[in-house]
Amino acid sequence: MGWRFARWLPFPLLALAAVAASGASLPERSERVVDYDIAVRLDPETKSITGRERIVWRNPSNDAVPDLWFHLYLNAFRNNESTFFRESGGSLRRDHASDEGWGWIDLTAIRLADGTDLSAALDFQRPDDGNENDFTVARVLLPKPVRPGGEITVEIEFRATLPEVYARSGWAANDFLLVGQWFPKLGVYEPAGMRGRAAGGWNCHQYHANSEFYADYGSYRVEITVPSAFVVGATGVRVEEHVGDDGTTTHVYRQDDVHDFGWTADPSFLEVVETFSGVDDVSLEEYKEAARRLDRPLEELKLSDVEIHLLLQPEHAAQRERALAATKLALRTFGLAWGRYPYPTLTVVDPPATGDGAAGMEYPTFVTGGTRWLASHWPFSNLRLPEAVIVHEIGHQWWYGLAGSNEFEESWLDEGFTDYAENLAMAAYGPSAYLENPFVAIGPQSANRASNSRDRRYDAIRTVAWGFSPRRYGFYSYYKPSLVLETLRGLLGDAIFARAMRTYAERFRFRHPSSDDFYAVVQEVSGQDLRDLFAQVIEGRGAFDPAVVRATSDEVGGFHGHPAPVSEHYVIAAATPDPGEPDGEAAGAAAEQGAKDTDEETDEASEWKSVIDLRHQGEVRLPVTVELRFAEGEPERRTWDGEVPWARWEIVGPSRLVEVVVDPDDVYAIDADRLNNRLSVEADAKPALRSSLRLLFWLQQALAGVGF
Amino acid sequence: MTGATTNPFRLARLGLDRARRHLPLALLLWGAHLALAVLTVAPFAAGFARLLGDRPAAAALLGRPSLDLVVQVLRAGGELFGTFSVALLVAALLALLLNALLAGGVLEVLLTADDRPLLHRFARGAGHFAGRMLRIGAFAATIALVLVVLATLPFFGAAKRLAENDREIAAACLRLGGVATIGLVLLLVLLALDLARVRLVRDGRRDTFRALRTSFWLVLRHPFRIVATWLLLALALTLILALYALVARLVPTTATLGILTLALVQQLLLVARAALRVALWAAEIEIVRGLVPPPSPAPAGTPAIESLGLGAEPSEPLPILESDGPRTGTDGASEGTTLETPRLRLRELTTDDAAFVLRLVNEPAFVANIGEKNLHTLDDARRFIETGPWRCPGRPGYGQLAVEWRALGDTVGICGLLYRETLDVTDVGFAFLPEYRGRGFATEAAEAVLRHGYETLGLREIVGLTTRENVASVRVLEKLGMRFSRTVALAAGKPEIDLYAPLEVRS
Repeated sequence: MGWRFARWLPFPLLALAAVAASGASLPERSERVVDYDIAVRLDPETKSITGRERIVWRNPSNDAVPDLWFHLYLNAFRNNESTFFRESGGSLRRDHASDEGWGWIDLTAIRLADGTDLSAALDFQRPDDGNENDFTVARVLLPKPVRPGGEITVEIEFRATLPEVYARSGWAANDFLLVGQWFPKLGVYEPAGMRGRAAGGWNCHQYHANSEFYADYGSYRVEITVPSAFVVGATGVRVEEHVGDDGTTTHVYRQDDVHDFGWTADPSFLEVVETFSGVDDVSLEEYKEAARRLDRPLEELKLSDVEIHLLLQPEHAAQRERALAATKLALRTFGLAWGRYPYPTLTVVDPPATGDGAAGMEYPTFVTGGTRWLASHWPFSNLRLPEAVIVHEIGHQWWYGLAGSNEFEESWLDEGFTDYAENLAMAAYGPSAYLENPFVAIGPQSANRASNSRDRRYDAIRTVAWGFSPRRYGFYSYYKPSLVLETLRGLLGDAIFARAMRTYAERFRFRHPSSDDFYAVVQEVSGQDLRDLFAQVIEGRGAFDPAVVRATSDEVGGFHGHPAPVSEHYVIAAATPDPGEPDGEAAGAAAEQGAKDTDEETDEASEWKSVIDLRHQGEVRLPVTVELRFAEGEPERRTWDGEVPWARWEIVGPSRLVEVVVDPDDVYAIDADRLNNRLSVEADAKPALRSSLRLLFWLQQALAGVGF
Repeated sequence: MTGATTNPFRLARLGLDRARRHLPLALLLWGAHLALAVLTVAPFAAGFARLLGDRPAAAALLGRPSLDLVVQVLRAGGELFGTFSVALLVAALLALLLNALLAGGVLEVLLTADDRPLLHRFARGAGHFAGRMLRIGAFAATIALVLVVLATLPFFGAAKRLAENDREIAAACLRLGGVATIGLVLLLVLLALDLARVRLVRDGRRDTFRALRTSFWLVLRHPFRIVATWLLLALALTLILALYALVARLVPTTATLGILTLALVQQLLLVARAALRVALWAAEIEIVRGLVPPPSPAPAGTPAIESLGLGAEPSEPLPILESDGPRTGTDGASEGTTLETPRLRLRELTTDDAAFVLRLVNEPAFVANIGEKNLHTLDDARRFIETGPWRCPGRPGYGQLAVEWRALGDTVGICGLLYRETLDVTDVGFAFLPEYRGRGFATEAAEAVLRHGYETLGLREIVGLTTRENVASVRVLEKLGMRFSRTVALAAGKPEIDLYAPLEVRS
């Protein structure tokens, strides 16, 4: 418990910082902590690359930094005992791991700019699990520490063999190459106070099966030399291209303010170049709508033009327009919501079917989609997965690319936000956006909601990526966080939540936000105290499932038994009986008459007593609205604070209770079971009857068809 | 013999017409499947109502529910749906058995035309052929499995290799081809199964595997007429389903009345589906009639069907007796004799029967038991019919009649009264094509002929003549109430044969 509340300590500080920062909207550039100048040459025969890089790193902290930490991601594929392999369990069709399928990277030289050889000072680190067979993190001790604000230049030569692609990087049949996580890359030096850190230090995790990135912003210049037959795409802008004497071509790319660099090469790519225009591809209505929602001046929202490079496999040429439309949809939706896409280019790569492992990857200004030839044809074309993948990966340009959160430690901040982004954009395709069909609506968030259940209660969302219970990384990094954001939208209202997201995106553009930064911004913008929600839903474990489990409503049929001894009775009893009416019969009749009167009175003032049992069937307890619908009159809304996990309400009123609805506005998208949110006092067999008849009908068809 | 049509449209229409005339059959099929389906669904429906009756959110299931609602309902009723899926499996297995029984019943009704109640005939067929129907179904399933594996392995194997080499389109096309092949193989096996079942019932055969095998060849040799007929009827079903989809959308199912209306529409559709099934069977009967026996006359001794392995060699000798004696009296006295029995119709032979007669008299059993007629051409046969000894000119009501199987309209044999001058007796003679033996046709036809002789012609005694070796014939005569009387020679110098006479001579 202690650590959870400790996270809230910096809250007031951050709030102050945020107030100070407000006013400046979109930052134009990053701090540029690190610059890479790389030259790499591909040998397609051996699937290997040789390169040299020159890294300039500026110490952003007030510490004297004695070492540099590098990611050597490709060593994840070096052997079957690497942390990556152990965690992926070999289940990723690696059983036939042939020698040609492995991948690795070796540093052949490392020195300072003045030529001082550092190779003796290099060792491998295993900060996460101490696995001696893992070589994905290297540290080099510097001859003298880098002073605060100081700068150091390191030159590295490396040789790497790419793995057969099955996880994010490598080669596939017919010379397709996705070259990602391929060069020795510095980790992030986090100064004290950043992301809640007490003391400054390197944040450089090993390569795990379920985690990808965390790196610092800077400028990249990369020369890629490949045989001239290859079509190349990469992060950033192609600034030069020279043809060499040896049948190779060198492509030079540059990009500032990014934190990684990916490239691809394939002789069979069809390259389609099209411009996304902030004027033509976004209507004035859309700008106005966004300005109204965000309460911002229109000119602040203006999107810039982006040159889209679509690299298609020839067999997918028919899907060119679909891919372009999805790309533009994403640039428009996310640009309007969270600030314009600031880079001049966006490259969308379509890997071949054999390069499945390369599908659906994000690098700065460079994403891979994923489609099949069949997807061009009905009925497979009804499935909008190709669109969803492109939209998702472009979403990462905001949640990973621009807000550079730490995916190793807080994967929900990029995968969960991006999943939310994907659902937001896919809504444009209608109520069954993911699969056009007449039977089941698979729209935004419906797959996420379907994945949720009361049994999904063993992990907290804010967990290191390799720390989730088995096979639950996806749920807690993508689906549930997406539902949490949808819940925030429900609780705060569309506009307020949109403003909070906008503020978060602006404030942390080109920076490294943490979950706490997000909590702070949401509370600041909404003016609401949501600490309990964040603590239970993101930091804590457990499912959220408010339910109405019982509801009855009975007419209160007058009073039975003996009435209280009211003084009047004594008065009447003490009164002298009327001498004219001593008759017992007459007295009986009078009594009867009286009883009848009473009955009639009860009828007139007929009352209904309704009993409602509510429960929190999950561990998470948050206040929830409950709507009571009566046979006559307006429905009544009450709030159940939910502090005790159950409640029984007894309500006496003039009308019969018909139905109880928990969370009538469907605010809580994280609700693990929406079916138990509504209960009617009287059962209705019609839906069951109708469903059963439908079933009967098709079963009859099937039985008639069995064995002909 | 009527020529059977090969036009799929006419076959389908003929099938539909038969189905319309046999509507109770469709109702039987529908009722059987309804009963099984209700037994399966009802407990589940009750559980479903208990589970979700008071959960208004479940009402959204009726429209186009969202994925998460469907998943939540499945999760809420986890055990219920688990049990239900087992029930579905059991129902599917039961349906396999049920459909085999139904096939026997329906085919018996469609193939026989006696005047017993339809239900009686249906039950008789279902019971009588149950074993054979199940056996042939099991064979068909095995064959289908083997064929599917054999036919699709190359597709999927090649597709895998292509996919590994980045030939995505080719690989996808091969996979689609594989799936289409599975569908095609299943269709062909099912159609062959149908044809084989028709022949089992029609010919009373017991060699199920052989019937299936030969029917499979029939389907392969005549795919157009068989598959096209199926396709037309399948198309009709698709149209009906499309119509249903349209209607289902129009009927509001929020009220009980709407739900009941929809249920009614559903069941009407299912009756139509059952009728289409009956129509398919009727069309298949017609197809089989067109193919076996062949519509064109075969060269003597080697009927075309034998090359298909259908004309089984006679396993028992054929009882055929007739007079070779000289003609007496004048022509044409027996014109117009027509007799009817539950399954058979006996009528005058005409020159149109030439092909049939040519085949009959050249059957090995006929030659062995009765003798060589020396008929080799259709003209020979026509002349024989017009002037031959079978006519018994001068004796009205006498003469060999053509025996037609009413269900198929096929001429299956001959039967009639003959007069032997040398012996001064009237005897009953009969002969049947080999594929129609063993069904009691001879007894049935001869009974009618005897009744005709005694009651219409007023004869006092009708005997039977046969050789001792002809056991089948002896059995028929005994069934007709005759017993061995004496041996006789039809002419001087001819071998003696047995004369069977009725136990009492009528006055």
